[in-house]
Amino acid sequence: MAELYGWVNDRLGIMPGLVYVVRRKIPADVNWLYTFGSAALFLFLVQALTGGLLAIYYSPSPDHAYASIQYIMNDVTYGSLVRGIHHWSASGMVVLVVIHMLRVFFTGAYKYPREMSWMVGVVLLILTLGFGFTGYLLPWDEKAYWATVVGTNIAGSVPVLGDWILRVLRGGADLGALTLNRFYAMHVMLLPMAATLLISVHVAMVIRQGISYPPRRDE
Amino acid sequence: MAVANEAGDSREQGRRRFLSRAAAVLVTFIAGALAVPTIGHIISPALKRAENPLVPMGSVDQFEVGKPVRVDFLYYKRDGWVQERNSASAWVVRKSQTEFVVFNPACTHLGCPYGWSAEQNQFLCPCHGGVFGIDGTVLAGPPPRPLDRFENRIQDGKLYVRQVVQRG
Repeated sequence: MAELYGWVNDRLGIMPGLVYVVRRKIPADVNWLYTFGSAALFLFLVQALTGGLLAIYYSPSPDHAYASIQYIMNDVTYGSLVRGIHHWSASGMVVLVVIHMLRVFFTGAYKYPREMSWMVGVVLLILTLGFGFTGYLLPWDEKAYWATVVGTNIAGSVPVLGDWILRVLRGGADLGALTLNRFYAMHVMLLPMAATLLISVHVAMVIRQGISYPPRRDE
Repeated sequence: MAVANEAGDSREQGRRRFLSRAAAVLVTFIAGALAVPTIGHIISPALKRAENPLVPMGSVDQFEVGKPVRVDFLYYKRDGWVQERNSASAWVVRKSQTEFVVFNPACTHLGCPYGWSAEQNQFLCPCHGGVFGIDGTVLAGPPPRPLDRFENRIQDGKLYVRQVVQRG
């Protein structure tokens, strides 16, 4: 391990960068409330791993979606475990992201000079909910189908643009094969790419600026 | 004062070393716990051997001893979550009241479908002139081995065939 590290460091000089990232100073009075961002990041990685594993067997077509999930649950080794983790981590990620946001809000950490972190974070919150919304349809059972009918109808209730938004979401007037496939593409291709990019920016800004210290009495 | 500081520093270092080692152990443990289901999940289908189903050929009474009959049949096979419908055929030979032999309909030479000649009492392959006896043995031509057989079973007066190729 040390040899491998030395070999790489000889060529790339990664030592200063590693020290900068890993040994950076954090305020002495931060507490457990400051770990929810990292926890959310961990769940994102869990979702990327388990999601990739599920994509090996999932088939996003109305004919096969439900049956392929039955296959995952009943025939694939550890399939029900992997799907269970993906299911629960999805809910957990929404919870953690919201707690993280509340912590940032109530400690005033969104203020100068960290407004950009906040704004990127808000987009990440929306992406997280987008993951939840698109992923919910994929089991293609009654609950998934009707939840998405209702969800897209809500989007359709927007004044003026509503009908157009609804059609874009569903890929037409009705919910069907086109809807399932575009939700799948969003869920496994576009949203992950966007989230990976923005999380990188979000974390890079935290490393660059350091963690904001908790509000102190003397200020 | 200086002494107290030194003691504090070494205590600090000891704790730091302990924590970093504990973290390394924990990370190793988590990685192992993740690797097992991950690998199992990925290689899962490779570990399963799909068996062809036992397909009913109908009542045993329709087959006469010494008169091979070619039976075409449909069977369902699972391909992951898809039910595949396949057609296949087999040559059914009744050897006695209770004994059947079922031949794979592909010639053992190059896989051509062969036929039964009632006049010559032989299986004849049209492609390269392979000739087999009613028991599947090679009588003439290029086939390297006797006709391959399928597993068969009689249950409740019905003949069942499973497409498992058994060397003849």
